[in-house]
Amino acid sequence: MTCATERQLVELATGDGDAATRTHVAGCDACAARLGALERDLTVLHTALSQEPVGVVVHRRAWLPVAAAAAMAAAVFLFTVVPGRTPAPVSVATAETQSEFGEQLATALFAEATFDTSDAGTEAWELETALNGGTLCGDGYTGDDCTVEVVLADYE
Amino acid sequence: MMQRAGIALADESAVPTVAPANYDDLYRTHRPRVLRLCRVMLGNPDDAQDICQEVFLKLHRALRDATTPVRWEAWLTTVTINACRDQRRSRWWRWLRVHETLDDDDIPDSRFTPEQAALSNETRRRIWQAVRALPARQREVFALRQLEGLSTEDTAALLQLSTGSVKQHLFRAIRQLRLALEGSYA
Repeated sequence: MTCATERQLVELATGDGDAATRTHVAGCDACAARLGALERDLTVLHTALSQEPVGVVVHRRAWLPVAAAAAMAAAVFLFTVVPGRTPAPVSVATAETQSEFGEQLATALFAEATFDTSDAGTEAWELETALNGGTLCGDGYTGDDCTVEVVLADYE
Repeated sequence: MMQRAGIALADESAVPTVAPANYDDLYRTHRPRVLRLCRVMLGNPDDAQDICQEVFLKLHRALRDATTPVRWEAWLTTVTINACRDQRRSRWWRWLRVHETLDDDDIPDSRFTPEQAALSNETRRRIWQAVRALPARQREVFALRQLEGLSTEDTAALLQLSTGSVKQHLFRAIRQLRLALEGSYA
């Protein structure tokens, strides 16, 4: 057998190695030295990561209350002190406008297409996520940040 | 080689770890490892403390609801991972991460000689920087496999990945983290 690859050595050091690699490393000084260096590194990593993180400034909370107070003061000023200020009307797309748009789109694309108005206005984030190439989680988030459902009964 | 603690998630036939269903005992036993997991997953001591507290608050509530023995060790691990993911995906947290700066003036650790402390702090700083730079999934796999001592199968079950994917993430994480150690032993 030729010398072990880095991946094989990592698998060996983390308990997933195969017997052939183990046998080879036992009889090969070069591979044994590489495995030794890897195990030493893993020990250093384990030790370092078992301690407090180093290298982060943790003063950010000092300005947090100041920023919150400033934001609140600005809000109070805008909504109470400024005379005669009324909020601008906000347009919201309703199910009717969405279904109307859907019907127009369907007509433009297909000769005899129909648009199911019952779907209008529902789960827009699903469409947005799909269009952006994301993977859907159950709770509306995507990819690596999906949470695992925790049911107490599963751990009994 | 790392010692393995092993949580019997994959092996359903295993005798469940019926930890003492007493909040104080569970807190004392598991808080250090939950906090360590949070630190590695989030890379920030303040956030780790907050999330750790949140996890044990959930434990307090869950203890009231539990009517039969529960494998609290495995439950805590899953809840911790979820809590860290919740924290990571909050926009506010992401913004803070972007605007966070690195501290170059660490106070030397008084337990070491100045030479040891200098090496130790420099090495630790590089390691933590490398951990923070890892993709979230690699960080999770590394923490569960190398720090928590879970098997590949248990890690795969917990993170809902294939065993091949777990091995791949672990290999990449270790390769990246070892780069941070280059020159540390001179």
